[in-house]
Amino acid sequence: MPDPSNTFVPESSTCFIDCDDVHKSFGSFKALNGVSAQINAGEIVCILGPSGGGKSTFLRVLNALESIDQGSIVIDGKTLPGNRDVVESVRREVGMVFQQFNLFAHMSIRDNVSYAPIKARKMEKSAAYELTERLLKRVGIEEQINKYPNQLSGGQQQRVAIARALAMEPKAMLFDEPTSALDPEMVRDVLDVVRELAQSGMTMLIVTHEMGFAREVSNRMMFMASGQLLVDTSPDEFFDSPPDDQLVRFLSKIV
Amino acid sequence: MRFEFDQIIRYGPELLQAFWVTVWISVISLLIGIVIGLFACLGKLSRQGLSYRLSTGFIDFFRTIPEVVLIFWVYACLPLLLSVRISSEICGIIALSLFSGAYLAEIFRAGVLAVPRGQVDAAYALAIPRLNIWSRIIIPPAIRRMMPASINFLTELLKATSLLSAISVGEMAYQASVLGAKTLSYVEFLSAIAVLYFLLIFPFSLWARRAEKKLVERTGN
Repeated sequence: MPDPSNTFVPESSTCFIDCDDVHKSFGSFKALNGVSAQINAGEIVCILGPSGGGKSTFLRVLNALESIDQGSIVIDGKTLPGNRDVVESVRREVGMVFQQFNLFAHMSIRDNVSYAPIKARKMEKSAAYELTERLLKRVGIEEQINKYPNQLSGGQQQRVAIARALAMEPKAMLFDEPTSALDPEMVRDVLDVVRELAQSGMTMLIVTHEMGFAREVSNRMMFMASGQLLVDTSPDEFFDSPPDDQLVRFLSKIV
Repeated sequence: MRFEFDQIIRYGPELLQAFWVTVWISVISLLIGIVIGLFACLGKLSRQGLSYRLSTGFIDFFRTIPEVVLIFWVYACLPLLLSVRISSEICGIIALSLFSGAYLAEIFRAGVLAVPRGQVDAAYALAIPRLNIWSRIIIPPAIRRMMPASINFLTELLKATSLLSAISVGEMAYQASVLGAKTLSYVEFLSAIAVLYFLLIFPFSLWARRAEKKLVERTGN
């Protein structure tokens, strides 16, 4: 069980995400085994841990891509599990970026980014296109707007995916290993975008294996293993005096 | 023996008419089959409940029994069960529609399941309404993926119409055997319909091959 003294107490108090004893199993495999955490508006939380430890599942339940078996999640006042309206309103406020980008392969970059605001936010087409151009400029690939996903490099696709999530103007963003599927030379471009977002004050949860980046960008670090949140602390303590044996072993293997 | 080509010319109108019977029975069976296939596909995709069990049972049954047995059954048993008279054309269409529905359901389902799960997840994560996810994110790429198999199925269906000769539907195979019996020019008429079948079906085979190639170029798998 997590040691309560390891639990990080944030300074600000506007809680945006509140998970209480969340459980999730896939068959006999317990992906989440009683995860509780509060994340405040504006916090940037990086989540580390061995694969199969529950990091991805944790992000996916926050976006209701997976239902939970037990416990509750309150996001900006809306409680999961909930009905379809609740789920959709949570998803409108929480953007998600996937390891494999998951762009709509048969749609142009413009349509990839503008489709959700048009359909889910009932935005005018012209306004959505304007927003798309602005966001693509922000992630540095405005010249690719008429192309299709398979004509872009992995790094460019991931930046489109970030723009696509931002087009919903979410209050929080979830990043599920955004650079793990990228060639090394493309990692930096994507991290630059994430860093820029972090500086803009967006609430973010980032599952990553980029230690240096995590330490630099986060103001809170979590360590998950065997479906549990084992460490929840400041970046300095996390890396300099890790308060958990498993985390010590994990860090020693990675660095 | 001598190949009497003028026999084919003389009975050309009959052969041509039989050709059209083959075509229209195929088209109608295909259209009804598409509708049945859509419902069966959706039922099987629902993964649980009554509609799932009905669809799965329907698909398994009609994919398993031989087409000839199905055709005879519809022709001989269905009128008894319903105590109505059904023309042999209608019987043929019913049998081939059921056959098409079961096969197309599986082709449609494979197409939907081939749409990468991650793209559907992404669409959900963006709060795109369910109807739009189906109409814009799932169905267009699914159709592209199911095209080669669907066209191939159409060639199978066109061939299967020849089985309707067993219940004396006046399509090509039936007409050829009737004309053969009448004139004893079996070689001529059977050769003629073989060529007609080839001319009818081969373009679809080519189309299926092209659709497949395009799909591979586009998706890389």
